[in-house]
Amino acid sequence: MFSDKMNKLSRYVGLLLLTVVFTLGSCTDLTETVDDQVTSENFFQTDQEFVSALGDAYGPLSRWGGHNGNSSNNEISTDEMIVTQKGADWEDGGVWIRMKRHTFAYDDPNINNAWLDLYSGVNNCNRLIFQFESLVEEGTVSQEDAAGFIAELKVLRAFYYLQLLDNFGNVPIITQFEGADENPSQPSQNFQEGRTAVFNFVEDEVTANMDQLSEDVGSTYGRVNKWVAHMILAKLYLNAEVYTGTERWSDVVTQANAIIDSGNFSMAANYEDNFVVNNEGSPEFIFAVPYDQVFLQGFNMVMMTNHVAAQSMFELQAQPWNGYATMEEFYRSYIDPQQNPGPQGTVFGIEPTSEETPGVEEVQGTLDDRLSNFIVGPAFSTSGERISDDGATAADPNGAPISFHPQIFNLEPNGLRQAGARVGKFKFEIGATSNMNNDFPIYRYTDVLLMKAEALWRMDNSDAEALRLVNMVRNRAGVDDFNSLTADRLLAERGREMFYEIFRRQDLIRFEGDEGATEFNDSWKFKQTSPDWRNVFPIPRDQLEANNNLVQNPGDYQG
Amino acid sequence: MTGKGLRLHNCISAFIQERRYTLRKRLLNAGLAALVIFAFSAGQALAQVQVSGTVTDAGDGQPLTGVNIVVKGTTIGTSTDIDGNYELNVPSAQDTLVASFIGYISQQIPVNGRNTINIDLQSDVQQFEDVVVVGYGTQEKQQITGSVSSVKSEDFVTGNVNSAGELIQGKVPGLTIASSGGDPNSSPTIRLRGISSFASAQEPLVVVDGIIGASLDNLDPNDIASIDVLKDASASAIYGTRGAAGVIVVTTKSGGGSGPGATQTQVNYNGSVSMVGVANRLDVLSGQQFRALSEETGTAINDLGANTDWFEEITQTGYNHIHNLALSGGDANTNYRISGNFRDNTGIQRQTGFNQINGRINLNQRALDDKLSLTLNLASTNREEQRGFDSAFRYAATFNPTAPVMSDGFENTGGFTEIASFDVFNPVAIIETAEHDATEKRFNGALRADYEFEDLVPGLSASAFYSLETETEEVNLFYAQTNKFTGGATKSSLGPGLAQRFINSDESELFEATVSYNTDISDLRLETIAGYSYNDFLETGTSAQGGDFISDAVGFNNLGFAQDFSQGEGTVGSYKNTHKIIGFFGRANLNWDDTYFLNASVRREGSSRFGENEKFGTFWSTGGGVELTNIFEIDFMSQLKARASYGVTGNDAPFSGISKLRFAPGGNFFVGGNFVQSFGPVSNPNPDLKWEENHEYTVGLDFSMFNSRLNGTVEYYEKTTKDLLFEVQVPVPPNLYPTRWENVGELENNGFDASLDYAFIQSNEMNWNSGFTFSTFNTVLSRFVSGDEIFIANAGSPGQNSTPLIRVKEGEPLGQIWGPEFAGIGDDGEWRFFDADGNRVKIDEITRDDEKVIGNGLPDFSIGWTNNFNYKNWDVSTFIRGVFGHDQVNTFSLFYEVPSSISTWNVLESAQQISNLTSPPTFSSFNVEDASFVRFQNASIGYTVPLPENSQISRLRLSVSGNNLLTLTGYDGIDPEVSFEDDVDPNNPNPLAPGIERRNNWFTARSFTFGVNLEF
Repeated sequence: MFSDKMNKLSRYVGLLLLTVVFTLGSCTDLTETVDDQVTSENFFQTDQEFVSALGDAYGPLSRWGGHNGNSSNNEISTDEMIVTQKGADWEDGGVWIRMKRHTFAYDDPNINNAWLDLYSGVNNCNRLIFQFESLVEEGTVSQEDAAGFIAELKVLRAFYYLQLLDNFGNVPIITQFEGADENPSQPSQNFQEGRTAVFNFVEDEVTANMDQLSEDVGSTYGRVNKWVAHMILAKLYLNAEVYTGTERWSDVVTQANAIIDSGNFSMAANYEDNFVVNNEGSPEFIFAVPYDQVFLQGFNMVMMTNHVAAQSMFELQAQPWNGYATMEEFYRSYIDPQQNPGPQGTVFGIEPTSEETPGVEEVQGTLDDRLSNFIVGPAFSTSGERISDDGATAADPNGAPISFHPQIFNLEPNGLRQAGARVGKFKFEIGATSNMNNDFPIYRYTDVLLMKAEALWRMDNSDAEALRLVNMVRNRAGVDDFNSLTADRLLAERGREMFYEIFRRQDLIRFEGDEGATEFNDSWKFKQTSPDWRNVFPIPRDQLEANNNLVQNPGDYQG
Repeated sequence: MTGKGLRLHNCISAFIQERRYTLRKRLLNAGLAALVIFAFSAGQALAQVQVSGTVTDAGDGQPLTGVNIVVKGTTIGTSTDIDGNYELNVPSAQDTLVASFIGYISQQIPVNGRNTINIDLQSDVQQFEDVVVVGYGTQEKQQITGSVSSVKSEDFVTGNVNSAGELIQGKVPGLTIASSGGDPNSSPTIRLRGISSFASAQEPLVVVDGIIGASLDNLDPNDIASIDVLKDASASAIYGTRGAAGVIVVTTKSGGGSGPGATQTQVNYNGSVSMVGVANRLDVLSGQQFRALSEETGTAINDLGANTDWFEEITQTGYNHIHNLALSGGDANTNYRISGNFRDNTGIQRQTGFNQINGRINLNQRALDDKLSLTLNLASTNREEQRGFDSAFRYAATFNPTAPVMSDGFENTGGFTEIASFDVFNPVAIIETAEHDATEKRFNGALRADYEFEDLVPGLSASAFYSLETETEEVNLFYAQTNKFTGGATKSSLGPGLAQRFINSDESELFEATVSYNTDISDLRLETIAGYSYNDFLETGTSAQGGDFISDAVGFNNLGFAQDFSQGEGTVGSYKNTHKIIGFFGRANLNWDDTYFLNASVRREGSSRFGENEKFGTFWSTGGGVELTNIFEIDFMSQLKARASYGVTGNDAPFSGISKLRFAPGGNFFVGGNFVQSFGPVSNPNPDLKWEENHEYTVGLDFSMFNSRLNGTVEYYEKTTKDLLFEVQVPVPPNLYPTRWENVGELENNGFDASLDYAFIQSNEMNWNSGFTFSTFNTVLSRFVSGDEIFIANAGSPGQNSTPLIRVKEGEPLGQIWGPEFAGIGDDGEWRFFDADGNRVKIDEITRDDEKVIGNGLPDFSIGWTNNFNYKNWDVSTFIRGVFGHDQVNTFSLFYEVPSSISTWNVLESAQQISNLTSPPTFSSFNVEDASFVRFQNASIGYTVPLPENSQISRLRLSVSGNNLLTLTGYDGIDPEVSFEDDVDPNNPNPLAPGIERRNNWFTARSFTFGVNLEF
């Protein structure tokens, strides 16, 4: 009887096993769910997500004040900025040395970074435009509601294309999200034709969409509004001759006037007001990146320029990198009475002296408010102690106590660690983290004045309004009027005023050079005259390799 | 899937969900159920026939005491007396007797009406050696046609072994187990037959007692009975999408031979104490040498007046003790083994070590006339680690040797001397003002039911298997306000401090059902198995970090103390990933007269990670072998088997969501005066993403000659891994994100594996066996993204963030170290390198066209040589291992061998030889060294204490062993061990960049161990 039960039981067990085998056998579903990130299926459902998505189009702007991309390329390739190699430090594969000497190669990663950043802006705009248009089609959003967003995205996309036009010249124009070409081509195999096509695209896009943009300045801080659109056009026309071969000076004046006449902007009382920690809402800011130590990180000049041991200068929460400094010639353009006439007084000169305070020669020079752009002279901690560099090399005349002197002896292999006036334009907060709170102006009103002045002067070298506008800017800086304008004076004034606002390369390229094709190609310390094909950056190697349809810009970039 | 199917699916997942939460309880219940069934079967019957006889050892004819004699299908039984005699009443003359004894093959003898039955039992040592564990079952070694190596516990590496992988280091040809540096909390890197993937699993799949994908970390080395390595695609194809890197099958010890018959309870204790010291360290300048070099070169130094050996300050001698207690036994229907393990380990870096408790229960219960067999395995590990800081080694090398450990005026950095310079930190302060702890908890449970359908169809059986494995890791880091390294302290102010906590938990569930059918058709033996496998994985985790403390008192224990959180600067995150693998598989083995063998297997398997269009793939293998001694008469050979096999295996995608377009929060966006989080793409979709596919063939010869004194195997293999998964640069436009995962590359590997064992001396009193393994490696990247080359693995900070060390190029061997060729130091004190025309030029004249391959990070061949010697009660074993032909970038030399660097930090002693050098560090062949080495890995001497006959103790063995005793190499870094992947980012190791010793490597450790083995 017992064994009967067992036999039955054994049959049941067998049956059960077989059933399990076959029922589970039908279960072959391998659909994947993503649980901790969103996919296109579960995003874009609420207004909040809507606005949030829009933010991604502005994402690349957070790199405006950062290192190793578009801003670095545009600054270090000019006479404004230098990053010397300091022994083992800042060698970085020689990219900053090559950038300084205009021998940059098409596989330098910083160039690819700039491309990726700018095109990620383009792509995000394309994707969002597509998504908004789809929502209109579905009837989820009305045409009117969507129109403003779409116009904003198109003009922002044009802003990115303006940077691409300026940096790379002949670039693929992509406006589609769905069905975009896997391997897009440039508008033309011919560099100049292609560049002109990109120019026309930017012009058409901004012109066609600007009227749908908000005119309200307050509610669109950090975003594209109508005045930003005017500024994009003004910048486009300012270098139109560089981009297309045809000058557009009167259009610069028209666009500048639209901004000036709106009455929305004015010059701040002091130059420095634009760059203090809480500079948001400066009357000069037309378009700014609203950086925040917590919420919008990425502005790390505090790391890029400060000396390693100068951490205690501002009680910084991280150790700075001791990289960025200005060129001595550029610093001289502020203090030299010939170049910059104005009230004279004792200023720090160029050369280091000795270990004694102050450690940098003091000379009679022009007192320009805009000298606040630099940190020069002995460094002290917040408690007033002289800061020293325990590892200062013997070659450094200043010795261990730190004094920043504008003179730079070597680009490589061993640029002295105290050499170079530091970038002090954006004020450093005591106790700062590596992310600064200062907002970064992309477009500023004073620039509009200088652009208008230059355009007027280009059309008529004795234009009185041009002189008046330049002197307005000079007066605010506390220096004397010019009695007439020259190309050198205009360029130098732009340099002093717009230092580290990522315009120097554009400006140098626009002015005729003494030795090279343009001022950008002229020689300066550590750099020989460069060929004019260096005036655009190469199409990055990664892009050429990923997309066989791209053609390299003219020139020899394999170096 | 149809609606009905969907409902079924839902109900199954609900079922599995429920099981997940109640598993421990259920496994316990199952154990109880097994006990209940056991109680049921304890019936008794009346005796009818008396049978008696003697049981002897078939080998030497000696009587065997304590042999269990049981009437089959009943619990009626007895055991033999001291003279090997037994007497038993059997219910019927038609019954069958079963004789079983531990260490011997069980035998079934039909009574057939006899009254006297003498039995010869065969020792099962031979049987045990000849059976290897393959996927889903065992097979006689003779019949194997693929490439399988088996290592039994008696052949394991002994001494201070803390992880299962180290047990078979150097024992299996083609399997490399590299434990670089002496970090007690790191696991060795395991690679089979070279590198076979870029991104996906590099390590062989681990199967522990049927649990696929199990962790070796939940195993105590003392509990392992055997490790079988399925080396080629033919052997591992049954594991489908996870077999491409080979399979390591671990079998844990169980309670004696299964089957009817009672065994005695055995108690086994293993204990050891080890002393661990630094075997090799970097030679950097002492304070005096530092000053002398400053004088000699005229380089100003910051002389702080002291002489400190920073390595001495951060290292210590470690003491480890290990205790293992195991209980095993059973009776007619049940057997068990229960073990407990305790390890207490201190590392060679001060403040490091771990302590681990591990328990394991293996239980087997037979029931229903032996038709049903239930097996339960439970294991649990609790480990507490003090991980220390790898960086302390790096900064101990560079910190100024004239600086005192502590000095006045450094109150804000806890009294520790700090130097305000980039990338310079006091290593003692790192250890003393920060904590890095971790807790790991692992559990696995497996329940298996096998049922034989003897009544229905002879030879048919089925089984069901369920397992659950869970792992939780909690890592805590705290940097005090006085910590400069990460806490931000400076001489003039306290830092904000930083606390971090990461909690990760993984869970995997496996359900499998198989049906097997074995039969004999005249001389043909056919063994088949078919099954279904459902594996699901869940990974979740949480992390938080914040700083700005007012008080250091609570460390990482209360993150709420970090003011960062109230100021919006703290960061938190969490994640959840799920993953499913579903497979159907089958295998057939044919054996014709023990002479011709044929094996074939197939697995159709899919993974949820693959793209929408490519969910399932088919993996298969076939192999054949012939035993030549059965066909030709060869006097001196007892075995000569030729075999050949071919197979296709897969490799799963490396992470979940890999084929999808995903969005994640980017930066913030400023809207109307407020910051709003913005979302952006973080990946591109690839609906065609699929598995990596490995095609491999092996030809081999197994032989045994001179009365089995010489045994060996020689194999040649060629494998091609296609569709390698790689994150490819894609054009941005039109893609949203600059990279996409694609199946792009192809790797070709080939090589010889050979092993040879020879018994030099075989006698009752003295034995000497010598075993030799030899493997060659050759890995070529036969196809890649495009014909172009890429340069990767940057040397790193400071200053060499854009100096790549490795070239990856289609058609070339993998692991090419690339750079300029060193051509001496010029009269001006600057580096010279050879340009393409052979001129000695400075670095600024070197372009990529002048650079060349200056080394290869992967080895050409490796050897292992084991000797076992015993004489009476003494036994000695030695193990020597060598790896040859690989180069290594010595990054210590790259960064710290330039004399002018003494203005900033300390340098290697060898910098004194190039004191005329003025250039900064520049990578070249100067920093690349041949890292071939021979290592005296392990030696041990044991003495088995002779015990009186009536002793309670059945075995007592004492042993002394040493590990990592001597290394012969020309390499000047810390460890010449192969670096299979670049671990500069430990969370994302890069297999495309082998051959770089990074500066965070721990010093190697040498240990001496005293051990006791006790059996009752």
